[in-house]
Amino acid sequence: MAKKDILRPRLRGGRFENGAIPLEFLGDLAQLHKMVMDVAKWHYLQDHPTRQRVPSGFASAVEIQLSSLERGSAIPVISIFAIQETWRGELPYERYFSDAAESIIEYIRSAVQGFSESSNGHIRPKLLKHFINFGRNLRSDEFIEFQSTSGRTLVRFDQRIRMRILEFSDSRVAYTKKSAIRGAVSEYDQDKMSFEMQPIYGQKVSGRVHQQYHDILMDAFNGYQGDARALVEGVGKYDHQDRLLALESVERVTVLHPLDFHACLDEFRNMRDGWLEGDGKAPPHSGLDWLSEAFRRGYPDDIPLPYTYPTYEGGVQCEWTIGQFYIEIKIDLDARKGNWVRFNENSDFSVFEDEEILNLDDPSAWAWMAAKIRDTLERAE
Amino acid sequence: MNSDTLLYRMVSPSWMRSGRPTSQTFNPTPKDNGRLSVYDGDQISPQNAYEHYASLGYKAVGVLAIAVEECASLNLTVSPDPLPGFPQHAVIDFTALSGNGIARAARALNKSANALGWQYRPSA
Repeated sequence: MAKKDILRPRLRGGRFENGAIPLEFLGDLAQLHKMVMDVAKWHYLQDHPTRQRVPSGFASAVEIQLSSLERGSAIPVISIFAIQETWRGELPYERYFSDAAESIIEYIRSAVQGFSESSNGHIRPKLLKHFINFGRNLRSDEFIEFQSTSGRTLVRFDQRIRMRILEFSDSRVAYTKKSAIRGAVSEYDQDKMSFEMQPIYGQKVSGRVHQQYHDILMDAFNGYQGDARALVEGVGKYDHQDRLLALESVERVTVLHPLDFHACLDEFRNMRDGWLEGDGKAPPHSGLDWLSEAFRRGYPDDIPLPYTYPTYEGGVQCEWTIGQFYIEIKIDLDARKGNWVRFNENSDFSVFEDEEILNLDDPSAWAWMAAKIRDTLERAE
Repeated sequence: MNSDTLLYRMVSPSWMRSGRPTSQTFNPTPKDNGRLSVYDGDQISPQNAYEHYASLGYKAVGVLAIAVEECASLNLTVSPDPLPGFPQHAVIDFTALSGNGIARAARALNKSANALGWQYRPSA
């Protein structure tokens, strides 16, 4: 059977000095095996960008084995073997497995050198999770020396380098931040005080809460088939594309007002161009981010929330009906301006209380709007 | 078509909020060139109008109606505008209005339509 050695990591220090490998460390080597396989697949897909996945026989065509243990501290020789006899004795996909081993070594080298922008060129960020398990059983006096086939200098991998990789991958792969998530509670386990939530925009996430939020979560869960929505505030874990992965901790849960402005904007994030009779532009996410923040800063809590809708042009329209008065503002998210109109519905058709183009980047515009709404509340019959 | 004729207008799901349709429902979009499409209620029922709309691949949460007379009171003219395979098509002409006058007329129509209530809702 065809065979090729692809890695000869030299295990040094502590328990390795007598030439043996502690059984505990075999789990780390098994993880190295998984990493080689995943990186090889990644290399294959890099070479074949139109493919969604590797060929079905990719992983089963070869076996990655610990083929021998050489002396010199302990040197496990990791090799790939063809599962079956192949034509001319070639190893299927051999180049990708060799490249994988090389990439892993070069990635560790870049960690030793303090990383650079090109570091992720060696190894897909998602694959860095393998370093959670690979090397975790190394003690402080133990390390692994890798040497690439290109013959460059030895690369030393120890706990310090492993932690550097994990910190780097954490910043690339996932991070946490304070979050406010609006959505429906789709599952609730009272015994475990855990819940699953479908955000208005994004993938389902789960979390755990304190007993004090039992009633609110119960209400939100019971209203799941209706429109009941909750606001969950806490710390969320996100991937490098800013997608929420999980709720790491929950600090507060409240029932959302049916007209909650930010929830409306979150709804609009799900829209696609063509939403209105095959036409109609979807509001841009960047514009919704801006408006959400501007509203949070500028719109007081003590005045009524508007009814909020998307516009055909990809903007947002807010409407208020207060007694005999009607108010609307049509917001252009690109220009960050709003066309404000207020009129008494009983008045002559040509008479408007106000007609203004407002610069919504200016806090005074929000203060002006709030004053007009308060004035309307005072005069409404 | 006479002054009592009801004109049917579909309401987009995105244009409903807590049971309240937006005034934009009765506001022509730029592609309408100031002429808002409606169904002539003398020629089609609200349910059939809804089903025709759905057959075009469009989504609506229900059907609202406005009387020709109400349009006339706002100086909006209504006229039949039959299209191939769609003889019930009519238009409300907003071209005599401009700027916020259009928004105000749309609001007036929306208010009247809501007072009349839903003519058809698929889940009702």
